[in-house]
Amino acid sequence: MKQSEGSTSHGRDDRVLDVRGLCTRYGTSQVLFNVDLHVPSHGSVAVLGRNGAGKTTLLKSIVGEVKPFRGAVAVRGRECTAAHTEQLVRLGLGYVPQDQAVFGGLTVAENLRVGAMGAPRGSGTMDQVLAMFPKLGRRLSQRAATLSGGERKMLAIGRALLSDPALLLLDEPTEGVWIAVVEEIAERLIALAQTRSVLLVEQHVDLALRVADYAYVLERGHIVLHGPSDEIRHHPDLYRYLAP
Amino acid sequence: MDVPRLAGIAFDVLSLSSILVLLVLGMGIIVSMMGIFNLAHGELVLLGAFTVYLAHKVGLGVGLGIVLAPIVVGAAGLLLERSVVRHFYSRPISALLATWAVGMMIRESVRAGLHGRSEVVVAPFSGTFAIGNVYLSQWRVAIVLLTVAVIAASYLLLQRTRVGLQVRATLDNASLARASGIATGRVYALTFAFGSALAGLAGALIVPLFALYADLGVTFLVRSFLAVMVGGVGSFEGPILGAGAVGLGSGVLPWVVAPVLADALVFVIAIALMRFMPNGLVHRG
Repeated sequence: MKQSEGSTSHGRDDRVLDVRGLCTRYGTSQVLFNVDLHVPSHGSVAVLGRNGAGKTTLLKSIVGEVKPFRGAVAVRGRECTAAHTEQLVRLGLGYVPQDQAVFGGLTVAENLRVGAMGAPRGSGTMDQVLAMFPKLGRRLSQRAATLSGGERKMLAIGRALLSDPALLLLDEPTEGVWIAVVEEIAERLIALAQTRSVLLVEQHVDLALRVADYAYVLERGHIVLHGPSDEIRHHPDLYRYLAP
Repeated sequence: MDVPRLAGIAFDVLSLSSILVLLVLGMGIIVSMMGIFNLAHGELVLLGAFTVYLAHKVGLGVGLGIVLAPIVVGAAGLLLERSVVRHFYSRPISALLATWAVGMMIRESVRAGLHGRSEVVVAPFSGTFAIGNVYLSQWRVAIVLLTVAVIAASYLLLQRTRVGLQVRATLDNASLARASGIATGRVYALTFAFGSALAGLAGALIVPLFALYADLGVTFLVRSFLAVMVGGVGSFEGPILGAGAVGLGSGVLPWVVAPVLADALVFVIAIALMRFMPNGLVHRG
């Protein structure tokens, strides 16, 4: 476990995502400072931090929604810092944003069909998604805007899965979800993390550390702590960094 | 008022509304998706009309000119989007000025091409036919039928095809569409070209009714703009309903009050509608 920025224990050849020295700003306000982060090909990683720490900006910088002014992002060994979001999807990234993660005006079935359009390998099927989230199967012809918060999150994850991503980036997948549904989503995420790489940003620390086997803690745009989840969970400074 | 006269007025309203629908369909979809008003839209209508005129002049015939017009204007729209409009998606006011400037260049080029005159373009077929005591212009009936066909084809394209789903997804949430692997830049370009092609078709169909002159597009631009605002931005049905409403007002009011006053009344009613229904007749919440 490291107390400051630096490389992780993952081997460089075994990385699906490699972020090096990432610096991002909005106007004159810098949000991320030399962030190094790696996700192994078979593993899941959590990013923790209090509100405003830069977690969402980190994901947006990775997927090309926000352009970093310094640093590099490589997906499966390919440098793609300047790539467009849609190109990254075709390289194998699946992204579930924090807000407006579904197409509200489209039906559930149409949302899933849009997700399948980005499939580079074409092996993600709607049947698999509906088996994972059976509730969606009963709502296929319903407009996504009429779904509950939990169902929307499920749909958003299902949409991203249909592109069969090598790495799934999830930004607060349980935010705004009824507490009884949080556990249901958590179970699906744990199952998902067994089949593909996951980079998870999550406010529920316990949930995030259950899903991920490695974690980073962001504070004011700096990585202040990283290490295996079991060690991070018991780190004496963890809640100092996360306390509001 | 007798039945034939009422039927005549109803047909005039239907005919005018059809023309407006053709004009606003392209404008509406561009506004909804890209959030910009294309002030060159009227000149794209003019370009469609001018294409028919040129086709007639070089001996291809008006009919082939009408077929060529949407293709030529669609290609021009694609060029306009790639070279100018795409740089202004995040700056809608700049987009207004840029498209206005492009529109002016097209308009003045056509004016030069026409040597400042107006030209008559004859419809591929003309004359009237009677239903009972009601006499209908064949060309106006053709415009109504073509408008219905264009609406149906556009609706099917949007609702039943892969490209249509990409367009609707981009319209709904462009950022999420990109995160789903959709190349939104390409969708914008294709949509702009499609909207331009519809404007070109509209110009080709209306030029036999109004003659060809450099300000032909400007004449309809304000009404089209009004129809989009009245109908509501963000839906397929909104601009069509808006065009119907403006067409109804413009077609009926001149029979009730003096034509000059009728024009003013249409604007007053439209402004009142926008005041009390700011999201338009069809609002996608």
